[in-house]
Amino acid sequence: MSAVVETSADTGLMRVASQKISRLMDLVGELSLSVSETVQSADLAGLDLTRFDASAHRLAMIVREVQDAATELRLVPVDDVFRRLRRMMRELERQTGKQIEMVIEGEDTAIDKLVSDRLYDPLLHVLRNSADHGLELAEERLANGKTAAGRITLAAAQVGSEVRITVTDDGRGLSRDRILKKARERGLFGPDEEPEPAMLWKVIFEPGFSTAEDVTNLSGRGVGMDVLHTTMASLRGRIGVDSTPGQGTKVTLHIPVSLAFLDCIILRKGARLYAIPIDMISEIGKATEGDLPAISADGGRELFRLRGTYIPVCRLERFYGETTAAAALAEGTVMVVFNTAAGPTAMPVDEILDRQQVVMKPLAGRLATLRASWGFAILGTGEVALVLDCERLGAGGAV
Amino acid sequence: MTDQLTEMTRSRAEGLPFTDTDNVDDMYLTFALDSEEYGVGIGQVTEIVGMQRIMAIPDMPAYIKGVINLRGKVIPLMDVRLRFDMPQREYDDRTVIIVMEVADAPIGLIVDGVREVLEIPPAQVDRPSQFGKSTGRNVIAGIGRIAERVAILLDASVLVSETDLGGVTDAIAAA
Repeated sequence: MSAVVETSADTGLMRVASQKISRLMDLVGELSLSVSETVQSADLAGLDLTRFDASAHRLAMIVREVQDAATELRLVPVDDVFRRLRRMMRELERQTGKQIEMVIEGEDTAIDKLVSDRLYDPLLHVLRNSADHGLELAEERLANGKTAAGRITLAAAQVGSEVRITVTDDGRGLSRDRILKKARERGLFGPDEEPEPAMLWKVIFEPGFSTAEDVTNLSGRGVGMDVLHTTMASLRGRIGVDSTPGQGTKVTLHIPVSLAFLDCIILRKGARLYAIPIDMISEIGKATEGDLPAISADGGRELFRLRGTYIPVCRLERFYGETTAAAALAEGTVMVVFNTAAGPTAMPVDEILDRQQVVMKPLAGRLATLRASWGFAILGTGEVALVLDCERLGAGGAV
Repeated sequence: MTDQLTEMTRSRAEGLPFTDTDNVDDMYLTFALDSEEYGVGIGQVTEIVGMQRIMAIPDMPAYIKGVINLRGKVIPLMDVRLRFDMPQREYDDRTVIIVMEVADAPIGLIVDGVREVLEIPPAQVDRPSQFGKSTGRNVIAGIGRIAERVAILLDASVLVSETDLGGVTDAIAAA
């Protein structure tokens, strides 16, 4: 870690090694924990602390501001990535022989540097897909009453705690028949199943899935989607696809603004604390009479009635193989419902404690094998909660 | 005593050189488990702390007791007694956590108490191959002879791994 600091008097900008900023973030985290430990020290119990309390309050305010400022240091505009992609687009124009007009919007949108560093490959893949499969050749476009040049819009916008990056083309749109046929061949849907459009479109991003009639060196070989999948999974992102025949396709990448802080619901199950990213949770409710039917078949499958439909129940203690014969769930049990690719799943918990912005720590060393988790969340109280990866709980836990 | 050790190991972690006569590779931190004395290479030890509030985690064997938050770092704790199939013991005010850095990841070892930092030159260490067990890597790196007693020197990377240590008790008995 050398001191890579170049100052420029003209712009007032400074280059700082990202490890230094990470170190600062760690220290700020420790600082805020230390402050709360000091202020809440048991030694102070029973003392008259009017002036101390006022100073402590001011201290807490400053610490919070320092925390915000440190977080902001890591945010960079998506502009850098977008500019590299624009250059790549000229290359794509040449290779496909199509005229492409590229529009860029929201390039000022700020995103965590760690995220920005990893966006190029997945976005390039989506753009290639649009240029290669989405856009038609000039003659076909003119025949359909469109402009000769195809248009691809690359846009970024912050919505709440996530950044949405969309790639929209005005091409021919996705072919439901062809994709459904292919998906059925691959066993992703049953022969009579008619999936919702949003569910169906998503399969085009399944690794190895390609309906392209001819394989070009650009795309159509189904590779590269792996890059998109793994990158999005490690960035805790989601992919959405929308398409209208003849009018085009829109691919949206939902990515959290900052990887350092995560907006979570903190809950307790047994003696353990867990955190679930808030955007995974669709609702939280209490089980009432008849919501939890007793089923002995199929190894005691558990279901939860959510507005008339029965959805699978995932019990953490079963998922982690700690118990197989747990007592039946009682009425009044708090159920957290989260959405996964496999559909909604309900998870019984003992108590919902709080909603807070947590600092994330990855699983390292001996803990790397811990299943269905993104890492640890350090809570404001100094306690540690395991952050659950609901997608994997839904896939492996919906027994 | 603990404070003193912490001080020593801290200075090591901060890169202060030991005097020329000390060879870090031959330095061991010894700790007690029941009546047995064990040792780990001091180079991997980052600090020694008292018992902390442990937060339980799922999906780990029983000897991984949970994690602690040590100044913003999440560190898994291994109860070395349980790792060696020894009877569990209530933690008391002598119980300490030896925080180590093994293969770039932190791990805390829960032990009955720390003894001392010793220099044990290779000539005073008997290697496991000498006890006729040669299959795979053994958690016992060697047996250090210190005057009238012995310290069982551990290979931290084997200790921390998921390897089943079934044969350990036999090896100790043989030693």
